[in-house]
Amino acid sequence: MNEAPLILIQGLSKVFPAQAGAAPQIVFENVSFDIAKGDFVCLVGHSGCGKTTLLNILAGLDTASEGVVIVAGQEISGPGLDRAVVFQSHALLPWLSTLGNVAFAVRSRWPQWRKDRVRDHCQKYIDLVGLTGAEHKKPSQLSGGMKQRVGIARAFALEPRILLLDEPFSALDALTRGVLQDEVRRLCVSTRQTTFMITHDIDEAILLADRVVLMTNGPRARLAETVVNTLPRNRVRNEIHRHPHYYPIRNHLLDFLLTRSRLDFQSPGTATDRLRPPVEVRPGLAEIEAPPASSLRPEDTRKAAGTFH
Amino acid sequence: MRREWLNVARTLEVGPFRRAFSVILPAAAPTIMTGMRISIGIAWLVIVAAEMLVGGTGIGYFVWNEWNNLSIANVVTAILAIGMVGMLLDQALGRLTRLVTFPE
Repeated sequence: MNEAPLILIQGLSKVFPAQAGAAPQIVFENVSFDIAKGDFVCLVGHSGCGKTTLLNILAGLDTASEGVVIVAGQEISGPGLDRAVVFQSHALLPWLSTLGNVAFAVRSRWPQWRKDRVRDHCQKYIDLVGLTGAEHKKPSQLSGGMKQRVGIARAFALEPRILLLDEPFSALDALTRGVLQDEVRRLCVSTRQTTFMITHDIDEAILLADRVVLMTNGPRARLAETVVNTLPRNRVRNEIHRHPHYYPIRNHLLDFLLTRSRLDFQSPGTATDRLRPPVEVRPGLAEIEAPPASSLRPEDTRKAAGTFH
Repeated sequence: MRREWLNVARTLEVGPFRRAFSVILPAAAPTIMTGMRISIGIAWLVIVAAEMLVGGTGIGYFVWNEWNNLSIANVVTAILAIGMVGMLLDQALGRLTRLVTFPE
């Protein structure tokens, strides 16, 4: 990587102050990673490890107790139009139509634009997410998937430097989720959009992310690993599971969530342990370089992944 | 008022005036209108009663005056008129409430 990363997160901690005799609660500490331009990074972790808090800090809606977030060479100090957020609960304004919701964002970004220019710009992104014909419907008249599409159109219409997605598909049924994941992947690849997404879903992370950042269980969560997704960039849902890297990566992530994410909580280790930067793992390549034994059995994968620690 | 709407406004760097008029006001409008609809009924009632006591002007005074004139027909007509006006006011505000209400 020659150019400096677009987003630098350094030593980020969040502590909720002590309340009524209880000790102050450390949500996560010493979180450091970076996101390069055009990268799609996914954050995976169990509930309560502070994923949403971390995203809110990136969005500027929350403040960190320690550490800095630097976006394009500048420390962020509050919410900004260079970062667009897609909220978990779509967060559309229910008294505005689809067009109105997108236009509300576009007018905030470019207040000097004339009416027809705003309209054309909104229409372009509404068409892009496949909502043509639903421009004048209110959110209450739209299905869950369509509401989330409006949220995505609103975020993309801002043409942000960074797109922040907070479990955008978790409230949707499996079918809709699949379709929307494909759409988001297509949009992000074609616009080279830098994206940071939070999810619980491993398959979603493998399909969408170029890098998966793993967080241990909270409280006192920390970044354990960043897993590089070695699947080809133009991956599609109905083919990736045949790729030789798919199962090694998937097993590695699943093992982390099921066992290793907990170990850290049971034995937090020394202070220096906790300051160590997260390891970078390439489970797919490890498997390929390993001897050609029947390589997709989970025991082997665990062994192969284990050699990195 | 939902927190997420304010968060949307914050991430879009919406200024305080625009936030007040294009997020907070539309979000609060149904509650404001419902409050007005309830209180206008009470206000109308109190106005008529006050006019009866203070005297001099208004429909309340008219009712009192006609009662003293022993003109029961006028009293009944005035009472009906009071009822009609109260109903119209309530309906007008009801319409306005429906205009600004949004389904969630």
